Amino acid sequence: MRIGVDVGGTNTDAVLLSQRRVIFSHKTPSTTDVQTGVSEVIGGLLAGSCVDTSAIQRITIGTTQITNAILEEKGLTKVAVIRLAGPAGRSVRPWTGWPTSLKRATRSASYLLPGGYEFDGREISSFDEQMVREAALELANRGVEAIVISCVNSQLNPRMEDRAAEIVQFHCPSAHITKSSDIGRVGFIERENSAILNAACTRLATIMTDGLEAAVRANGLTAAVCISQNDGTAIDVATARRLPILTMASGQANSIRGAAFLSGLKSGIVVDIGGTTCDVGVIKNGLPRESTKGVTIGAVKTNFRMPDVSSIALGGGTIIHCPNSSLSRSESVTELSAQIGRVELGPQSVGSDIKERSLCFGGDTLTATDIALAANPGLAVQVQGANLELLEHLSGSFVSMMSQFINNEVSDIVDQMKTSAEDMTVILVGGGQLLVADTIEGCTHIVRPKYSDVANAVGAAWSQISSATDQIYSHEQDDRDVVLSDLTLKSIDHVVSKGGDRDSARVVEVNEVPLTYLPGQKVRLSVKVIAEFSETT
Amino acid sequence: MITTNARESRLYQSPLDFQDVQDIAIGCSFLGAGGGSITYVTELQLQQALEEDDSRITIVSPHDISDDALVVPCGWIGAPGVLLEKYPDGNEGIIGIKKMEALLGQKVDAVLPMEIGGQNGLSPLLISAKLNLPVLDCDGMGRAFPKGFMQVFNLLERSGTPAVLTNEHGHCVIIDDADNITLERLSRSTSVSMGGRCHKVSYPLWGSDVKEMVIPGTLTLAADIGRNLRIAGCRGQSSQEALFSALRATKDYRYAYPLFEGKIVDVSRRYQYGFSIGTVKIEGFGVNGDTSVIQFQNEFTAAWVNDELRATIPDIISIVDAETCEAIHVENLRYGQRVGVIACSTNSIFRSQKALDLLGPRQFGLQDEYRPVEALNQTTNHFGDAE
Repeated sequence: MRIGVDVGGTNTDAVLLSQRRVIFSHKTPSTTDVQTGVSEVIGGLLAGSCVDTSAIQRITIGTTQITNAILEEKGLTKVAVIRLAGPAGRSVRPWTGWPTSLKRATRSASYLLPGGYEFDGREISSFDEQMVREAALELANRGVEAIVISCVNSQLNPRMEDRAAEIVQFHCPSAHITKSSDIGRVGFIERENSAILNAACTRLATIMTDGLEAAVRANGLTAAVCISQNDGTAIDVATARRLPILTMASGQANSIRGAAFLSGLKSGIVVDIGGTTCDVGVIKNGLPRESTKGVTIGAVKTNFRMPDVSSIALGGGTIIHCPNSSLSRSESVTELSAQIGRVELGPQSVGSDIKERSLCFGGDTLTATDIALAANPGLAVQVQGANLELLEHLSGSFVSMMSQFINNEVSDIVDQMKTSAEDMTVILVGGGQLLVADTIEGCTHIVRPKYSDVANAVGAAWSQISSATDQIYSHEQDDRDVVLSDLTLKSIDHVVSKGGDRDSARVVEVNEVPLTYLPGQKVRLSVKVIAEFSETT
Repeated sequence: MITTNARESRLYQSPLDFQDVQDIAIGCSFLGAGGGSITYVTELQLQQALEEDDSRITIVSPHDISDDALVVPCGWIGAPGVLLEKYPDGNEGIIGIKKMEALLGQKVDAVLPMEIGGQNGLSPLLISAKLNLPVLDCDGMGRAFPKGFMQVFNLLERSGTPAVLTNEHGHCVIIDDADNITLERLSRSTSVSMGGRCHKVSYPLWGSDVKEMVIPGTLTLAADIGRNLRIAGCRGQSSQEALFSALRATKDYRYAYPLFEGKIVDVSRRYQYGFSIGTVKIEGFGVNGDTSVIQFQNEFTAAWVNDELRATIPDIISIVDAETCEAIHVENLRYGQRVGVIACSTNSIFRSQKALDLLGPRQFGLQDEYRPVEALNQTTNHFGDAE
């Protein structure tokens, strides 16, 4: 059995998965220290489901702590950058284009040293061991804790970064080093930015992973702990400590994967409506569709792959602003038609204060939830504490017009996410899903799976494991197909050794980079495979 | 030859700030017609120069430069992809200017972009920042073209030499006594051995020349495009209207048409002869199966809607984000993007037979004779007419 935990802004959710079925779920309020909330939710889950702790094989936790740390600029470590680029790039020093406050929170020093590779593999200028050593000694004296090494075209050839890291680690044994080639992908400044953000989070990552592990162990669980990353797979704690940036946006990936699991569908559109926002993503072949745009984190350009998600400010707590208070009581279709354009939907939300502020709970603010309940009183049983009598003053015409309006907003964003005009199934998840009626334009049907209010935790529990391997081969001497099948086998073996299930392993990415600087038409071939976690490990 | 007013502009009033630079960058991307390198790295260079190094960038009208002034078009040549990893040192243009001054025995008085499209519309601003030289509000192409001789100075039979090519190491290659086609060939091979890209200072001109043989006002146009889009974005107004109002205010670009809107469903691309060549297929948002196909060779060269030809090079074709109307570079086109296709007219000098023999649709493998965008879109509602 596995446990999935999702640490959200309002609630911390946990689910218990057995034989590919959710057998129990539990919700507790999130706590500022995260650890307490996680410990409590796991405790509640174990108590409520009465399972034996030894039956739990794996715990996967999805958390927004790293994302929040960057957005709120809290708990970040100052970073030094050693850039190997020769004379190139002096006009774009590290941190150029960053927001001032985030720069202040993360910048310690930078060294622009010789090195780097041309696109064809020649050196821009030679690696200078002595200069790297001098920089390392200076950083050691200053006690810098986090160091980034970035080199032009290191995604083609990581040798200079590797050597610099060895030298720096020798002189600064306790420092955390992030090499830009660990983050991968072409695009120098984006890769360097990502590496800086990663390095800035490393101290926090240690605290976070220690806390999460402690929360798990406090409940007597001995199973492996994994952390969700942004592609719907999970990484072990050691990797999360080294590359915490990989956990960014894992919540969105988890909600899409969770929706797929709960609905049993391999493709469809996932609409996740919470208290404040509606996030729409796409599931394709069981995996979240990735965004093709560069991803900006805290206004810093990075080159992560993230789920392709469109968001609008529409959730259960979204405030409806009427131009005048009598409008919501009016039955006159003429008056309503004339005025409805002036009604504003959000973007503000009452958020977690919904039980105090929303009309149906006795508050004084008209929210999207009020409209949904008034339009469909049958839903009231799902909303604990809601009183339909408090909504009686809303006119039927107003309610139906507003509920149509809300539905249109969702339909529009769903349509934008479709890649063709064909009908698609919509999977509705999240606490605010009652806002959406049973039809969305251009979608054959809508499913609302059981446990959809804890879809993120389900996605975390059901996360997969991935592994990538690469090899250089010669177009002239080697048979590409043989190399590819060898490499695929190697990746599968690797993923199995990390706890993956062999039968479910499949190739999700094959990448070939021609290394024109080497004789014999050499190509670097890399293969990424993904597998389900094995139930028996 | 002057068809766009470059006599008055906000840009001449005071040195540029970073907001102006960002506005110009957005305009340059649109005028790049899908090509010209990405502007992002140059924006960062300029941000560093303005905010950390306290430099000044001044723009002046080509009319305000004395006839005997020495002015030089500047810009980068080579493979755009190289810029994703290897950034300039920042001194390439300066070394080029210094070397040109030594060759001609005269101080350079002003610089101008050799092409306004893409990164090259911005990169002379860095020279201005570092050498305190003004940048003239004009350029040699009025857009981006794939080859160096596809510009107005060559069409008017000016010699491109001497030309100075430089890289981040300060290496310097001088090409002299070559015709303009040979100059292009030698420059290309030099850029490859210099690591894929190099900075080029060529076609030295006199102040009297720029009053006759440039595409004037293009930096102002770029700034207006960017500014209009930015303001429309803040106010929640139509970005397409904002873009068209900037184009409509000029003589050269006033015939502007929204050709299509939809989702990219296919991008096929191959790299050949140093170019990125391919097609983009876009499906309309509606259910009636409308499609548009755009062909490119570094820049967009032709656009069809439901198999009907609607625009070809040298008129500008740009694929823009459906929401913000910001141009998307050929290299950044991806499956699933929601885009608009926009075409607009270009300076009449590029529509002459002589120019078309050099850069018309037939030079890019099309069978069709060139027809102006306003003739191909006569039946469509466009924004070119005076109200």
